[in-house]
Amino acid sequence: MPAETLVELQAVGRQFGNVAAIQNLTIMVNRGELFGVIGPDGAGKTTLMRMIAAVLNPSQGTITVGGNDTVAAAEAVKTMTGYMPQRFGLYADLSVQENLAFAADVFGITGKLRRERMAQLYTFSQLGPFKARPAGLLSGGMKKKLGLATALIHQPELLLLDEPTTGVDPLARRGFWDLLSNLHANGTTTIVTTPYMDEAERCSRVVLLYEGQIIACDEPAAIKARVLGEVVTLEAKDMRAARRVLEEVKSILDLQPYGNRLNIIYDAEEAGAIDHIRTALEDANIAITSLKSVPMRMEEAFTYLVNQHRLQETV
Amino acid sequence: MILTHFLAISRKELYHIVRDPGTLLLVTIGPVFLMVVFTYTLTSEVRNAPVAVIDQAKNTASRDLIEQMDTSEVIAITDRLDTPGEANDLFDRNQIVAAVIIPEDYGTIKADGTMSPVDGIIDGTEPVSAQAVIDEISYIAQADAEKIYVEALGEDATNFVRPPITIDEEVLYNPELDNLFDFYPGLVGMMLGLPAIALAMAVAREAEHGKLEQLVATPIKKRALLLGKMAPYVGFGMLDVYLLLVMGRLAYDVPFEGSILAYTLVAILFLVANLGLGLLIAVFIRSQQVAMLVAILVFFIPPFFMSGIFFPIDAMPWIVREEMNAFPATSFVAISRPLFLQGTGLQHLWESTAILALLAIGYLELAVFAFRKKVIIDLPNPFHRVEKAETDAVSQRSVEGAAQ
Repeated sequence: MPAETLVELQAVGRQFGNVAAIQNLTIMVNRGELFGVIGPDGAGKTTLMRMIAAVLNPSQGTITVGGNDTVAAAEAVKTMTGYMPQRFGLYADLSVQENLAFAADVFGITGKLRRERMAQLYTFSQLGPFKARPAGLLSGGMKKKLGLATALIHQPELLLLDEPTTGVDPLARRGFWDLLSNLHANGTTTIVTTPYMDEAERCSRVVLLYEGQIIACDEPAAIKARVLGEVVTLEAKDMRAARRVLEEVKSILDLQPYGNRLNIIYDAEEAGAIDHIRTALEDANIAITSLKSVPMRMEEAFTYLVNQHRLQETV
Repeated sequence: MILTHFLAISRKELYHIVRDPGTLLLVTIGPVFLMVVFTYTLTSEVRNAPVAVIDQAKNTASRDLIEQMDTSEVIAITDRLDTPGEANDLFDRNQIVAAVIIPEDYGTIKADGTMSPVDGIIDGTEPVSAQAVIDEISYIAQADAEKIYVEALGEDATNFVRPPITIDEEVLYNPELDNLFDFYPGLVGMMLGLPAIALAMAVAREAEHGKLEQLVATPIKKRALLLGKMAPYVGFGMLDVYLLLVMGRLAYDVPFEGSILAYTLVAILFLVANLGLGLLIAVFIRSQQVAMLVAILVFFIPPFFMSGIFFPIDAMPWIVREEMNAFPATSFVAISRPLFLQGTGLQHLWESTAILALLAIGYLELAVFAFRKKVIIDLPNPFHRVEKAETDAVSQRSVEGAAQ
């Protein structure tokens, strides 16, 4: 079955004053995708989401959702999307029930359909026991679930979630992503932003954003495959000296300090590369605590690609 | 759909008001409380103003006069001095507001039939209380002089003495309830600025707390959104109108001669116009504090000075008169005073009523027109200078801040 495009961004740019938040972005999102927008703070994720949600107009280019232009047909776009902003957009003084009912009113969901949907969403979000609780008194994770439930009340064709797991504990984060996976399995199209690289692995496709530009846009596995290298992680007594030595080793593609460890991405094509690293360190009399191969994660791939991008920019 | 949206927003707004004690107080007893404070200030009288006496006569007549002054509630004799010079020091230290000098020959009627007058020195810094003190002293001195003439000349005294001063003057400067009648209907209009301020703040709060971003991303109709937010405030405003009406009647004996139905209609028009103006302010200003300041400037300052509550609007330059028509309070004052006090029907006040209706529709439509269902992002202030090296980092951070 050929993939049908739901969201289309054509050469989209957005400036604030003289700062470019988004530059020349062209992306297609197909129906049924769980599409991740990954990038550090300030990469332009929120600006991008606001433009797709039709609450912010692009400075250049066009965005269409289901064929509707987000500027010319903003209201049509708003009808078919469920948007959950990064800041808690619900009313703290209204109960869970009242917030959901308000969303249903806004989207014109009434009667039997409304009762069914609300019952479904209570089960889905596990918020049933907290119906009467003011939304302001919910835990961080439950607030996000309520946000998701209200965004789903009209079964939108496109779900837009802006950093739904920021500031949520790891267990609640996993729970939230389980909900997203369920939705994905049921065919809901979702665009979700996150600064957490591990979450990118659960998306069907991701775009890596850095300073408003696309670094890569592909399936998570394909993005990792772009890095023609493998990862070893090093722990040594004198990390600074180790780093100085390794910067001279030719087969090393990238060095990524990570807490008190150093992730070394080396060229896997070159035979015996890991031995080169070990000998180089030993020659310099650096005591190695541990040096072992680890699988490549999104984290390393992203950092590698960003470093490559920066290198190209400076050249 | 638009009705569903309107009702949903109204219900939500009602919850916000009822569940926030501050807002609830502001829109329910706020206007009543403010009215009590206002009327108290307006009707407060001068009491026990400190006065020094310089008795140069030291005779029976002067002692009698001082005794009269001592019984006054307006002034209180705090110092007895020997020479007028001593009073200067007390004036400088703000210890007295007036000094009374009784001449050496006080109480003696001269050959030409006159009597040496009592002199008074008044501190004019506060004109209203100074006038009250002058009036009180003149009144006592005049009465005393009259008594002296009567004692000396018998019934013939009336030929020599000027006609007795009536006490009407005192009422003028000690505004009693008579004057309050004039102010009260207009003051009701001013007090009803409070719900409008509360509304402007509520809209700004919704934007400031990031709730508007979620709301503008839905297909909600903006007319339903703004009207829905306004509706509960119209309701509370009407509650205030009736509370103020009852309070005026019971506590201040302000008569209400007009038709309650006509007054209700005018009050609704006025509230919608006022609240529409409040919405218009909030559409442009999305910070609670700034919205509050601007709303106070708009809803209290011009109505106080220029809507005709205290100062006759006919005496103002035509340009001010025309400008003041843009403030709903002006027309409301113009209608409600004759309606309250003379029972004038709306058919005789149609011009002001028409202006109110026009303002009500105009401000609402302007607010709906100006409202954008978009996220407003504040750019970093270009006038805020930072070191060159910092500039890039700062503007980058501001955008991140704005983007979050």
